Amino acid sequence: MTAQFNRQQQLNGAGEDVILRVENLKKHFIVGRKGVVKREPITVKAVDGVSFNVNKGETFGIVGESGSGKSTIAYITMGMYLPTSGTIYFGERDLFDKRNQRAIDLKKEIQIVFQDPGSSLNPRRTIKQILELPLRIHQPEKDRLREVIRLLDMVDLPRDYMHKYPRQLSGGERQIIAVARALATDPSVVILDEPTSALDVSVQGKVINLLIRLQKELQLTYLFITHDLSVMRNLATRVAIMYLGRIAEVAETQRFFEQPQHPYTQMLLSSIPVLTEEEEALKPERVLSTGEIPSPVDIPTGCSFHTRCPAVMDVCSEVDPLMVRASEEDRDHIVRCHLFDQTEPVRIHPT
Amino acid sequence: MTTQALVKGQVYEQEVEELKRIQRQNRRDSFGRAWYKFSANKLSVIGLIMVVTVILLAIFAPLAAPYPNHVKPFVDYNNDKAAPSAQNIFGTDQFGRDILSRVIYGFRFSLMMGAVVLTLVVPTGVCMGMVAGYYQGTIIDTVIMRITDVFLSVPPLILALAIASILEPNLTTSMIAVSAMWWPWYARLVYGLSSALRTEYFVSSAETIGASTWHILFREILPNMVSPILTKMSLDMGWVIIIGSMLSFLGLGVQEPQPGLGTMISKGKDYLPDQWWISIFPALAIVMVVLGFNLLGDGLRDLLSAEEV
Amino acid sequence: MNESNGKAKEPLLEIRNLSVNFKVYGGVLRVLDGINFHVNPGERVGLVGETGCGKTTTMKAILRVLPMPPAQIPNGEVRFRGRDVFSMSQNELVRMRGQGMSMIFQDPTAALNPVFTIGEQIRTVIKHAEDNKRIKSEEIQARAVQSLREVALADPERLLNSYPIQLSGGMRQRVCIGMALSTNPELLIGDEPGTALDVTIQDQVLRLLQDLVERKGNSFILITHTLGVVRQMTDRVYVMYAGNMVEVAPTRRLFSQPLHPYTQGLMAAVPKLSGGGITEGIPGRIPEYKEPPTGCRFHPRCPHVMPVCKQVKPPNFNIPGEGQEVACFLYDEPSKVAAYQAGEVAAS
Repeated sequence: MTAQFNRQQQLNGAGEDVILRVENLKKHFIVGRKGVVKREPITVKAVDGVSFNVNKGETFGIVGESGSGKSTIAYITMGMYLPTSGTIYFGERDLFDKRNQRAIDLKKEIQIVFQDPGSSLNPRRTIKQILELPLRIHQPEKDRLREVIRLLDMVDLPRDYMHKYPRQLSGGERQIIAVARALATDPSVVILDEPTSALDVSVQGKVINLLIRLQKELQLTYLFITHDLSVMRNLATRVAIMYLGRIAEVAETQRFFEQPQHPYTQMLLSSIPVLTEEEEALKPERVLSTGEIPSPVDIPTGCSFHTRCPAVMDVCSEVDPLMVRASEEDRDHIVRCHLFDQTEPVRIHPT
Repeated sequence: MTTQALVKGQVYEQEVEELKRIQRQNRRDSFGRAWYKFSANKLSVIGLIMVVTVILLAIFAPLAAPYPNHVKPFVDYNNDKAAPSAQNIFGTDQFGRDILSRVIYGFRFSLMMGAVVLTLVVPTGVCMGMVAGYYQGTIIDTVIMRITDVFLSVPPLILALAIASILEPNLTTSMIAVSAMWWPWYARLVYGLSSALRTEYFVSSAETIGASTWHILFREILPNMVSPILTKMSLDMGWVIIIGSMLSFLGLGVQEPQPGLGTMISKGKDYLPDQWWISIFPALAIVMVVLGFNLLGDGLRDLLSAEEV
Repeated sequence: MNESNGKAKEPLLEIRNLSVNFKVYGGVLRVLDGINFHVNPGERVGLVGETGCGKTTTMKAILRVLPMPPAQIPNGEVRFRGRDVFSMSQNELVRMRGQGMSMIFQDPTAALNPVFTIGEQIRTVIKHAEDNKRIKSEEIQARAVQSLREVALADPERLLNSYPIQLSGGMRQRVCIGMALSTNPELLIGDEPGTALDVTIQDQVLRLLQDLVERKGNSFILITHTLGVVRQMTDRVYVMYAGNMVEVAPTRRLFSQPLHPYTQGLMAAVPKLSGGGITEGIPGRIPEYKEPPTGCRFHPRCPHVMPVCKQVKPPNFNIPGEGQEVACFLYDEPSKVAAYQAGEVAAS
C-alpha cells in the first residue's frame, strides 16, 4: 500500500486520510429483455466506471442531472445495491467483501440523509420511536430517552418534539430529524442525497448551516449529492460532475465554479437562473443548453456528451475520452474531454 | 464524539411527566380530528349506529329477545304462522316460534361467523402478503403468490360448498370453508401495499441502519397498512355474513333448531307469499347487518385516508 | 394598485380584496387574506412565494375551481376582461377557461393523459376552444402541427401520433406549452413550469416559453418559488406570504431593491453561485392559518418588528417613482423610507 498509496495521493491531491475510496464502480441494471429467441438483456448503465476519493473531514460533492447516476452511487455506498463491478473501500475495509451482508459496525460508520423527509420518516411512528431505532441497534447500552433528548438538543429542536409525528413538523424540521437519526449511530461518513431540494429556500439555509456546524463538531465527512449548483458552491470542498453514469470533471470547489473546463460543466453553470448581476458575471460565457439528455438505455458512443456538446469534434463520437489534467497549475483539476491532451491519463487509483 | 460536551441540560422527572402529558393531549386531539372526518358523512354515522345496535342486540340477546326459549327446541302449534302482532312483532314461524327472538339470536351466529372468519383470515393473509411483497421478485414472493393464485382460481362458493359437504355440515365447517376461500384476498391487497411501501425511504433507512427484518415488517411496514386493512375488514364483515347466510340457506351452515338467519329464510321460503314474515324479516336483518358494515367501511376509508382536515 | 402604474387601460385580470377560507376540523383556515392582484394586457407577471403561501389557492380562485365547501369566499372578486368570474354562468366559465386562459402545469407527465396520443389531446383542446363554430378536421390538424412546430419540436406530424410515454420530460413540457398556446389564449398561466425538469432542460423550456410569450404578446402569469426564474421571465412581481401580497414591484426594481423584510429575507436566503456561505434564512416558520398572527402576518418572524405590526394589518404603501408597493409599516412615511434605504433604520 505504501509507495503506491503515496503516489496516488499526489495524483489526486488527497489529504493524509482517504476515508472512502471508490474504485472503478459500475452498476448496470437490467430493465428488460429484447429479442424473441436470444432474449438479450436491455441494460441501463447507471454508473459506468467511476473512481474518486473522499478525504476525511471534507465535503465531496457530486452534481448531475437526472440519470447521471449520482444517487445510485449513494445507494451503492449505503449497501442498498450491490455494484456490478468495482468496489468501495471505507478506510482499509472493502464494503462489499461479504456481498450484501454488511457488518453492523460498518453500517454504523456510514449513514444517509435522504432527499424527501416526507418519505424518509415513517408517518406512523413518533419522532422518539424514529430516533430510538438506530440507538437500539448500535448503542444498546445507553439510556435511550437521554440519548434522544441529546440528539434533539444537538440539532436545536425542542425536546417535546419527540412525541410528535412527522406530519406535525414542517419540512425543514423533518429533514433535521432525518439528520439527527443519521447521527444517532455516531457515524464518520454521512451521505447527503439532495438534503435540501424538497425544502423552501427560507429554511434550506438553516438545514445547511446545521450540517456545517455538525460537521465541525463531530468531524464528519460528507458525500454531498445534489443537482443544485448554488448550494454545492456553498457547501462542498471538492466537486465532481456526472453525466450519464460517468464523471466529466472533478475540481476543488472554487476552481470548479470559476474555471470550469468541461463543456458540460459550462453548459450547466450557464443554465442556472440567478439573482444578481454579480452571479451573472460569474457564469461562463453563455453556452446555450441544447438537445435532450439521452436515455440511459441508449448511451451515445464515444463521449456520451457529444450529442449536445457545442465544441464537438469528429473524434468525440468514436473514442471515449480519458480522465486527464485540465491544467498544469492545479494538478487536482481533472476532466474527461477530447479538448484536453489525452496522452497522459490520470489514474485515480493505481491498479 | 464527546457526549458530555453536547448535553445541554439534564433530564428531570418533571420534564418527562410534561412530555407524557403532551403525548396524551396529542392522542385526544387526533381522536377529535378522526371523529370530525368520520362524522362529515352522515351515512357513516348511520352505519356505525346500525352496527353498534346489532352488536348490542347480539350480546344481550337473552335480555332483548321477548321469548328466549323459542331458540331452543320448541313447538307451539296453537300459535304457528301467526302474522305480526303486538305479541309477536315479527310474527311466528311454522312451529309457532317468535321470529323477532330468533332474529336477535340469529345476529349472534352471523356476527360470530364474521368475527371468527376474519380473525382466521386477516393475520394469515396479511402475513403472507406482507412477506411476499417485501421480498418482491425473489423465490419467496413467487411461492407465496402462486399458492395464493391457486386458491383464487377455485370458484369461492364451490370451494366452500366442497369443504362444507366433505365435513359435517355445521357452523364450524362453514367458517372453515369461508376462511379457506377468503385469505388470498388479504394476501393480494397487502402484497400490493407492502411492495409499494418497501421502496419508501423510511424502509431503506431502517435497512441501512441495520434493523431486523422483523422490525421492518411489523414496525415500519405493517402500521402503514392498517387503514386499508381495517377498511377492507369492515366491508368484508358484511360479505362474510352474506356468504355464511348463503351456506346456511343451502343447509350447510347453522342447523335447526338454532336460529341462523340464512336457515330461517330457507325454511320460510316454503310459506311465501302468504306467510311472508317468516322469511322476509330474517332477510331484512341480513340487509341491516351488511348495510351497516358497508357504510361503516366507507366511513373508515374517509377517516383513515391521508387527507388532512 | 394599477393607478401606481399610471396606466388608464383596464387590466385583463384583476383580483380585488379577495379572501378565501377553508372550513376544517376545529375552525377555519384563513388562507387568502384580502389580496389584490392584476395583470395588464401583454404583461408578464410573476407570483412568488414559498410552499403554503396561497399561490395555488389564488390560481384556483382565478379559474373558479376551488372546492366549495370546504372553501368559502367571504369577500372579494375576480374579474377577467371586466367580467366577474364568480357570477359567470357555466357556459361562460367553460369559454373563459377554453379560450381566454390556458395553464401550464409543473408536471407535464400528469398533465397529459397517458392513454391518448399527443395529437388527440391537442385536437380536443383546439376543438373545445372553437366551441360553436364548425371547424374542418384538416384545419384542426394544421393548427395542431403548427402548435408543435412553434415549440421547436422536430417532425410534428409523427409526434402527433405518439403517446406521452414515448417522449422525454422536456419534450412533454414543450407539448404542454404548444397545447396551451394552440388556442391563442389572452392569458397564459404557468404553475412552476420548469420545476420538474433538469436544469439544462429547464433553461431550454423557459427560454422557449419566454420567446413565445414575447412574440405572441399574451399576458403571462408565472407562479413559482424560484426567484431566479422570475427575474429572467417577468416584468412585474408579486411577493406572497401567508395569504397576503406583501410586495409588488417591477422585476428589476424588486431584485435591486427589495423593501419588505420578507422579500429581503427570501433573497438573502438563496445560496449564491458566487459563494460566500449561506444565511440562516428566515427564522421561524410559516404561520398556522387557523390562528394567523394578528396585524402583519409576518411579524413573528420579522427582524424589524414594531409594536404597531402586532395590532394593525399594514396597508399597501406606495413607494414613489417606480411603481413599487409594500405592505409594511416601515414605509409609512417618506422620510422613513429614505432613512431605511440609507440603512439608518435598523431593528427597532
